[in-house]
Amino acid sequence: MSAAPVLGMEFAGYVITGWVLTGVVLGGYWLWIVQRTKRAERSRERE
Amino acid sequence: MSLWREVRLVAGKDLRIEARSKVTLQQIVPFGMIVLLLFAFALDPDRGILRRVAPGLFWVTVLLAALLAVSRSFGIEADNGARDGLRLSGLDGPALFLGKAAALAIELLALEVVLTLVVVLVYGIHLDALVPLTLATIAATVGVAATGTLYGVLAAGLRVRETLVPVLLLPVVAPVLLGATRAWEAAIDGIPSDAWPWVGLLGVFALLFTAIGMLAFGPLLEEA
Amino acid sequence: MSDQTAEKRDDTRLLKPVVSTVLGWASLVAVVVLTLFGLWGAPADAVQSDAQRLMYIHVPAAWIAYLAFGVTALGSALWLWPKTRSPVWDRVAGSSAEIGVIFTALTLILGSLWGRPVWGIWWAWDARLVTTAVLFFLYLGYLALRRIPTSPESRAKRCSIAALIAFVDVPIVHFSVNWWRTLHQQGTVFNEQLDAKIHGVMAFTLWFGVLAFTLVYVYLLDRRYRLLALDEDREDREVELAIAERVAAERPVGNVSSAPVGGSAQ
Repeated sequence: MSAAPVLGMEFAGYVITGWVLTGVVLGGYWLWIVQRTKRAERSRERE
Repeated sequence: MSLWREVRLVAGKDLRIEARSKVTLQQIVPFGMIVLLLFAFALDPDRGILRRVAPGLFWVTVLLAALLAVSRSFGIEADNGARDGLRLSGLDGPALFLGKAAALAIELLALEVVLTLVVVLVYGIHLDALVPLTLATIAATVGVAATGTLYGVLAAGLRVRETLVPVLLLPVVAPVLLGATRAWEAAIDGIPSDAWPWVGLLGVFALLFTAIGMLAFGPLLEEA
Repeated sequence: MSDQTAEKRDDTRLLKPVVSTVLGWASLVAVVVLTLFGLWGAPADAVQSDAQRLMYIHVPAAWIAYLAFGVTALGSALWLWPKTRSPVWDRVAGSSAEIGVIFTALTLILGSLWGRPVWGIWWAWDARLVTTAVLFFLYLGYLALRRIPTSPESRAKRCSIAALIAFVDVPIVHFSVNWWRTLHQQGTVFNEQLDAKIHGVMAFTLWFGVLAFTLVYVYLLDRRYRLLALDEDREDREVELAIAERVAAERPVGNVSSAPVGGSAQ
């Protein structure tokens, strides 16, 4: 279960993991879309 | 030609091919039996678990065997332009669907008879309340056959057909596994009247997916 | 040339560029505000303590997943209907499904992270969790179907039918699983906790979470749609190029530079 409370929060490990994971997944997905879009746009410009 | 005659024509074709090639009999039924055997290795028969989970194992095995049967059902049309022949035959989508699904259902029912024998003799369960049991089995089989035929035609012509159909089909038929297992458990180990709601669910599923199949088979065959 | 490019640009977007950018920033702000409320503003729950804070993202994630799959079903239906058939709907369906799968995965993981401290278990055979798991696999299969390289028409037809089948199956799955778990009684207590009435700041945070995730969803949908449109465009061009090269190679004395015009006649 939780270790010593961080930020004065019980179960901090689980809570923080959940929020960080969500941010990472959504942010990562967004980044992936952006990068792929740039690549597709570049190949389009070359036409 | 009437719908009924067309259905019999198509189902007859598939069943005749089975009668000659005996693939279901010689390959799929043994597969089912082997899976049941493997479950016994996995679950240690001496502790009574096998008996308790027999209905679930039975239906999981049927589903896995159905994957093979679906693959076979559409595999027979993969060569020699047979699928084109089907398209040009003038038979319409609903008839083709019902015919293929019926043949598949019959093959699965034959498989289930054999596997039931195995489960009774080897796992040691006693069949009881045969009416809800049989109705549940038939409804479940029709549901699986309809859905299997639907996804079979959807994936027909794709090179990845054999790995794609399982991943598409199994989640969709999860309610069938659920209902059939609960119905069997109620009929065999529990209160038989508890099985009837599940029979109802299985029936609804079977009707729904038969209807969807009749609508979608024609358009999907065009893409195959 | 620039007119043509501008027109082409519209083809690949659902929203106007300005709207998309504003939406992007709005989503970001909303998520930041949600984080502030979720992790600090809202009080710890009386029963669940701080584990409650995961609900502020778990519940919205679940809602958005269902929204996304609903949009996929709608897009699929609109594509299938001859009067409204258009590649736009197919792309909407595909993009929305991918986002839906991501949110479904998040729902499951967050649910698990919540369950462990509160119930001591990583997973429970609760009706909602099980239905969500089946949902995940239903649409994961759909995504697998989308990746198969066939003509856009063919792929759209197969995928739209698959999406509608999945959509129709969800209530059946939900109903049967719910039935199954309530019969076993164990589900109810677990469910009660999830349904526990929350008030004030906590309720606000939850609804704000739904709002924030909805903004994120629409924004991601627009961006993903564009990527899909651009990729399809590129595939079309590559096919035309390949055909043109083939045609040019088969001519005894070829004027290779004029080949692309002839290529599309195939």
